[in-house]
Amino acid sequence: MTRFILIRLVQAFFTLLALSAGVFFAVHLTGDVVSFLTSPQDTPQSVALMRQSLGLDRPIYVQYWIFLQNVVQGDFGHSWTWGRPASSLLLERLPNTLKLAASGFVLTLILGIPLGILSAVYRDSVFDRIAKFISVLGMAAPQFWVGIMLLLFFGAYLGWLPTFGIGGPTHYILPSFSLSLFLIAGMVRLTRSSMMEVLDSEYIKFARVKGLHERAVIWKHALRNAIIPVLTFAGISLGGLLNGSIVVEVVFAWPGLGRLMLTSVTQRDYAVLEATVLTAGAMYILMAMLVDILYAYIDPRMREE
Amino acid sequence: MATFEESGSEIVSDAEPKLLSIKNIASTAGKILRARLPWAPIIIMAVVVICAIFAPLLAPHDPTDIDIGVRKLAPGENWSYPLGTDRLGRDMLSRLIYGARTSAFISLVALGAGAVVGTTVGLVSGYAGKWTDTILMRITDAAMGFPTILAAMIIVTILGAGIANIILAIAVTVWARFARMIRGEVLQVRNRDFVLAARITGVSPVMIIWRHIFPNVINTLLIILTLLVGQTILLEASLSFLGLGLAPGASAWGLMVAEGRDYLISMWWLSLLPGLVITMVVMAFNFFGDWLRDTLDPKLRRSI
Repeated sequence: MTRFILIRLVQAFFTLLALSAGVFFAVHLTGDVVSFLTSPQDTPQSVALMRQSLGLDRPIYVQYWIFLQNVVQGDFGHSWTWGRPASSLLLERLPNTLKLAASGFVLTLILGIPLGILSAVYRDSVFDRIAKFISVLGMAAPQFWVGIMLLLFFGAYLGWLPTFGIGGPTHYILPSFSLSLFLIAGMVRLTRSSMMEVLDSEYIKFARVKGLHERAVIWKHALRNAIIPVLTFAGISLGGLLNGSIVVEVVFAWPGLGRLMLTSVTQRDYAVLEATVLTAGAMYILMAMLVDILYAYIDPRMREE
Repeated sequence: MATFEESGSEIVSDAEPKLLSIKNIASTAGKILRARLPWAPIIIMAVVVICAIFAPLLAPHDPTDIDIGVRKLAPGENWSYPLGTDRLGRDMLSRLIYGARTSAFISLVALGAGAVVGTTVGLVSGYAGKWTDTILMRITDAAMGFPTILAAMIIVTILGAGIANIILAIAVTVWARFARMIRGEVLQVRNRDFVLAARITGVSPVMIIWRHIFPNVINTLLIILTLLVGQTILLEASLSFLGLGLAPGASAWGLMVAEGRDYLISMWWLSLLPGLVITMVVMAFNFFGDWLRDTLDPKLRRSI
């Protein structure tokens, strides 16, 4: 197990390194950073001076090495659209995205799993119909559109909930629901089919024949076995949360990492772009690693690879 | 060569080894036709395809035609613009019809490219095994989990906007799904007798993969392809909603939702209609994909 964790750590480290190299070279080889900072009126001498002062006259691999050293110290460079260090922007926005993702994840778990179980246990009941409706709609409706429609109905039309920005607990309701509807759909579908499969199995039939109370059959015998693929899905869905937060943050003007990333793309703010993409990538890589380790802990067969 | 276990699985699996032939294609087609067809999804899918192909003939107006005289019409207000117009007087219906073209083109090309790359990786990885398999599957896992919009944003940042780059961005993120599934299927046939027999008689690995293994994974390929159409359309819509790639004013569903956002209260139909269209189309493809899987290969139910 220790060896497994060590291997995963080394793998995560190299993936991160590859990501940082990819992002750095992609940004620096495809656009001349200086051309965004200077105007056509500047003399060639002043342009050269600026290039030198930014260290851009050095070979690219030296620049990458310096970039890495700075990143390790938490310095991503200076944002020229915001006029402040990219790292301070990052620290300001990252918690907002994490809070949004966390509330979306909680919503997925507390709505998705119980609804999936209820719809498998009480087939063709009201629960089952609600579950089917949510899973069909959630798989097909685009997140940004769900967000906009919720905003239109609950925010603009009924006026019940705040529609933009961050604030009290009510600010979280619409964004986290639009963020998680897609995942809730997947969770309901998966819990339902996993639970149904287990309920049809021989050992559940045996437990029933044995005369066990129905509640014990479902909660003790069936659920424990049905929950494994559900946990897997929960792990995978963390990447989906990151993905969706970009779109949802744009819809609800949420001051998070995703929106910062998008504006840095459109404004070609390289320092912020590198900082946000690397942070999002690192979060994803770390989560994937933790999920892997968790599986290996739950299911020893996973450790062999 | 064949161990006891392998010959055991040979008995259990009732499928005949398939070669790439008219007869096999006909048998798949027959299976599809004999089952009860899901008509609602098929009709929606057909409408999308027809709109995409014949957009100029079907659209009542030019989707880019700006006419201030008929701006801000609500649906039903003026029957020559049945679904209303936007703030510049562009016809919603015509834009939606042309949007089908954009969506269908981008999704199909991107999915096709992803399918070719993914299937090749899956076939090679599954057949070669050993370290080739390990390396290819590590890459596949990394690509599969990487947030798709993030990847697309990186690509659009590097290469700039444009339809070709959107297609590339989507292809880069979908190929892994094909690779994973196809590899799994290959593992089930690679040790069967007809493959071993071909290997013993000295058929080259490329020919074995192409003539003997590929025909046995075509059904799976078809199913993944249909099931992914919906997700690809959603991804394309999200990218165009974020303004990555397509020029403003282009007729794309995601972009139309984005444009309508600024006039949500005064012109609710601008965002509502394109989103509804996306939802219905994706739903149709999802239903059809589910149905195709259940008809052709029910055992895949658990894995996709």
